[in-house]
Amino acid sequence: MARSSRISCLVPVYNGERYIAEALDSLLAQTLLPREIIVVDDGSTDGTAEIVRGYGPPVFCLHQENAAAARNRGLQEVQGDLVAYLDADDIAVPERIERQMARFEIRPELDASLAYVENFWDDDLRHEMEGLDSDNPWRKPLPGTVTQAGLARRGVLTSIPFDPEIPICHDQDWYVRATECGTVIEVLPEILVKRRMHRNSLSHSGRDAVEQDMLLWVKKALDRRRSVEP
Amino acid sequence: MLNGSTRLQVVGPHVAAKVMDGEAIFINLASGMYYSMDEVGGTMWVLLGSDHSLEETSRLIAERYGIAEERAYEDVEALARKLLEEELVQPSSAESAAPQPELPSTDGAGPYTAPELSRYEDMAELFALDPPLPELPDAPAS
Repeated sequence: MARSSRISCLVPVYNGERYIAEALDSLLAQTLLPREIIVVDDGSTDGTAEIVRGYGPPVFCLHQENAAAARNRGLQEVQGDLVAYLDADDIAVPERIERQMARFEIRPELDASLAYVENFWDDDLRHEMEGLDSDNPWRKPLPGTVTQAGLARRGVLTSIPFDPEIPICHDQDWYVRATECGTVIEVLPEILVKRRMHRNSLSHSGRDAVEQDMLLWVKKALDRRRSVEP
Repeated sequence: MLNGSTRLQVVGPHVAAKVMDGEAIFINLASGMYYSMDEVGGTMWVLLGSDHSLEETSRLIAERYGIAEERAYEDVEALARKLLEEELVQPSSAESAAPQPELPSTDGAGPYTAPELSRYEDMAELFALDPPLPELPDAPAS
């Protein structure tokens, strides 16, 4: 199978008209092109669908509400055996897919290749970046989760579905559950995704919702851990 | 210092706390550590977290578990001290308790045991990926 034809991209989106074109353009500018880019629209009410339709193949759009369910639904539609996620407000560097694909060729046992993400601030939040100390972790590259910067085997993603009860932190929850069951994950120490911080991103809205999600994720992790302890 | 009339609140905005299935979970987003407390600790936190003083909490715990109030107070104070040491709570200026909240069910609960606060550190990097930003100044009005 040709390298390109193994790879499908999934881009979940909700009201992403402002940034989705940049995200899609970054995937279409990859040095190793994916066979398809599937945008999963989580009930957008803005012009997202129209923008996506304007691209045409290899960009396709489907609809599924609930962010975690949207990620799962997208998996039912992909044709590649490797799936690269990208958030609709982020940007993949041109070599992202090629670099991660190479890891699967070097390590056939690999289930998921993650990479580092680097935050960048949209103009309307530039004051935030200026308010951070230079050693603040938000100004440094961080290891990304599977949905931020992952290329993973479709079979692994379908056998460990995202938890719809954890609509915001489902990717961190996925990582914890995947490692619990022995999934082979490596983090490539290279920045392959630029993560946009903007006023509508989850990190900047709904503090309570994020906290409730984290608390439930932790509670479920503790319950699982106790259930296997002797 | 702590005394019977001390009331507590979580240290905002980087500490999140909730009681689920009788278990209290705390996350300190600044340190990346998270904590859990068993059923007795969860019940104590339901009370302490709703502005009940140490003394009021001890009285209700003593009634609920049929133990001496002195013993309950000793355990409530020890728990409060641990929560303070871990910088999860701070004294609050509340002057009275909120209406008594619903307490976790005692169905299937064992006999009273002093609460334990367990601390975990294994998810710090994952918390750092998507936290509500605790250290940033408020955005100017747009």
